[in-house]
Amino acid sequence: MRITRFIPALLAVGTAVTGCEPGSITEARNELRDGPARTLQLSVPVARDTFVVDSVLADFLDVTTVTLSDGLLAVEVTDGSFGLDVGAVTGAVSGPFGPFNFPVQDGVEFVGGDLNLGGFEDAARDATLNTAFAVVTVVNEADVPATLTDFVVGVVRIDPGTGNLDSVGGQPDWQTDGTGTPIQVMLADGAGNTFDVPRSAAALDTLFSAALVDRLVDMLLDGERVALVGSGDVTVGDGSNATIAATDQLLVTLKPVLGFDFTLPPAGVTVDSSVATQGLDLDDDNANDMAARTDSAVVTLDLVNSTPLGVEATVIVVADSLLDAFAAPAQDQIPIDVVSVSPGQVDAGGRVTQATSEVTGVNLSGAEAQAFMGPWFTAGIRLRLFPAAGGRSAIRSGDWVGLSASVAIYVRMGGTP
Amino acid sequence: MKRLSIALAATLVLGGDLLAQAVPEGAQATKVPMAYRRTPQLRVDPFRHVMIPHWGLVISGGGLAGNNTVTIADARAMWYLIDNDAELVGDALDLLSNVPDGDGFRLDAEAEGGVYLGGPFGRHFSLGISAKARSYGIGNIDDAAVSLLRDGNVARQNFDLGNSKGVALGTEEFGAHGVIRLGPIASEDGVVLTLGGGARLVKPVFYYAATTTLDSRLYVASDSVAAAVTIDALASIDVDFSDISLGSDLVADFMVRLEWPTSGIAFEAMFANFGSVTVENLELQSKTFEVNSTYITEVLDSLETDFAVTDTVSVTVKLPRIIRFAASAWANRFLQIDVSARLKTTGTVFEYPFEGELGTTWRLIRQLPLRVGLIVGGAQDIGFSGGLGLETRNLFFSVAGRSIGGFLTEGTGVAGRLELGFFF
Repeated sequence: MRITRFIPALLAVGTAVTGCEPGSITEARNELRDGPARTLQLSVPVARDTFVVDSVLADFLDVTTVTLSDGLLAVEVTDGSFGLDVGAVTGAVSGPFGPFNFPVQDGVEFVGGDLNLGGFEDAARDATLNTAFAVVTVVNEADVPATLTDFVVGVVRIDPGTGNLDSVGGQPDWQTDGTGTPIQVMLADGAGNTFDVPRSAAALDTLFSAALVDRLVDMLLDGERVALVGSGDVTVGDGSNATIAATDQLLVTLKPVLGFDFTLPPAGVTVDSSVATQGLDLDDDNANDMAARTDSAVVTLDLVNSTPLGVEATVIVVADSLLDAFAAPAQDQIPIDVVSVSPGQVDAGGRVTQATSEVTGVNLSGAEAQAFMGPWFTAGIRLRLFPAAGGRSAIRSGDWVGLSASVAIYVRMGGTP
Repeated sequence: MKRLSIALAATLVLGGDLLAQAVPEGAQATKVPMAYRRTPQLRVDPFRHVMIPHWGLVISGGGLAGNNTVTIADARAMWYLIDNDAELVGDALDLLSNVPDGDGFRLDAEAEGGVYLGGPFGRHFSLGISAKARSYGIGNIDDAAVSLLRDGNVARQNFDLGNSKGVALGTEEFGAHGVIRLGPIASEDGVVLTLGGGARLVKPVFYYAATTTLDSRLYVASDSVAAAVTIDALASIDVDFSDISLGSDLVADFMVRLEWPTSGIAFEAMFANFGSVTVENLELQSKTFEVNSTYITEVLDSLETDFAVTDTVSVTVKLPRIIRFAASAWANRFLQIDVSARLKTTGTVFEYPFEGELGTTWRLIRQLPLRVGLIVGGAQDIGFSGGLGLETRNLFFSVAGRSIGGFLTEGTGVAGRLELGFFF
């Protein structure tokens, strides 16, 4: 006889003898509840999410972000290139060549679309630059070595009417700093004034000049037409055999990189995240029963801020699996809490040295706790990053905000019904 | 043992004077054979039938099953809910609330059945042979494991499983037991000394023992779940009642009984199940369960199991010894009172706590004894027993039951025994 049949049969016999047949479901249930009163304390996760600032801001910055060697988050401006004609000047030749020395000058216009800072435009304009530089790549298309001498890069406004560079006396009208000195930076190997580019090869340099990039960005943000212009001398050829075509160029590519202290808009930056999690997977009857048994439920939110920014997290729960909890009808959203945490401790450079955290507990009713008892629930997290009060806020790509939420459900079991 | 011998000798010499109580006038005691004055036991009692002073055949069977959590009424209520498709998770939680703190969940089972054939050779000697099948089972789920479901994981996240185990042994037994009755000694009112002894050839037919290793544990926090549980098991490869390769061993039983029939007083000591059985051809199995999950709800998805048979071995299993002391006296014409104590059983996988019993036998009609008793101790702390019998010259019938852990429906276990004998 199968055990599943045997046991009820045995119980039926026992029932007949002892008279312990429950008269109703309520009576049966009351019998089961005749044990000692206890509380089952069940802790289940609600949500855990980590917001890396790099990723969060990427939604707002329509530019490529890069991480500098010290971890600082920087913005890459779309690069621009211009060619220094060497073949056309020297003429096509095959055989012993050079050296020839002659002046060169050219530039490339940057447009506003190259630097789309979204809601950060004002912040970037007023930002304290941590660092700014331009990466220069010079590609030598000619089969002869080239050396740039006293070759400087500067910012020159473009006359919107003529489309020409502003000039003074036939020379570029370089943008100047507060002292009237032209904002220029020389392209050079080491401490000298020359920059060698091997034949048919490329050479790289980094122009460290916050003033240069800052001015470029400011002018772009002001809606002006602006160009980065290179000007100097070039020497091509070294007397050895070479082949050079009339179209050969020294192709100069400039990629400004901007690492600045972020000062966010006063309203801050908001990002939503929804985390769907499997619930206790109880059917309606069980969920209702558990809700009725729930003495209390406490949601614990643990918010950790490892950014130089202030953080505020709004957490809701919806009893469903959703891509966006905040898009659920308002009546379905169960507000959990709003937690704020101050910026992490920063050093003199505005870089976070120690995270700050905030842990809060929120009581839920049994009915609210029922949201965790279905097959799925979704925690919605609305994270707002807002400007720190005073001080510097140097964002590093690894800066993060972590939120962990769990719910402790206290369920009655046993005890006199 | 030396002290016991001295006590017995002193009792034999001085007993007649010390035991001054006389059987009440007209009491049934004087008309009832000694065998029937021995209160039936629901566990192993190898001398139960050989004491009967008639040649005959006795068929008997019985079983005992108990736990420390679920009462009969609970079980019935749960089945009622299941039958009506109304069971809820909360109902199971209510049941779990009954698991005693610190003890975990315990199961205890024992069953036997078989036949006996034998009878007396004169006034002083009886001999009988028996063939029986017997099984023992015990299970324990460590309180830490129960605690996870009963108490939750807020106050505690680490759960050791080191004391969880389940053991079951089934045997075939062929025994021969005899008793020697001496007395009355010294005078007509003197003591009757009964010495019993015998042996059983015990052949294990199945064995399974599973224990969690000491390093088995669970970690359940709100943000992670980890489990590393290893169950080492010894399992019979095949259950074959005709296979003698599982081995067989002799198990010894002894009994000493002193009775003053005219005083209606008796003392008895019984030592049963002394011995071990060697179970051969067992697979040594190792089962591991590992979980590393971020969410408690994803445990099954991350569960990794492994099963390996690492060896084939033989083990020696010490049977649960029974050391039982009993005393009985006639209180009046109808009532016999028995007190017994079964000592705690240790040193074996089948461990039983001390158990005491106060029993009464009512013989309003001599051939129809009614028995009612109270048990203290044991695995479930308290119990109630009852039974009735029919004891005639040619027919013997006895039915006995026990409610363990509470009275009837509030009990957490039951025991029953049925015996039917035919005498020539």
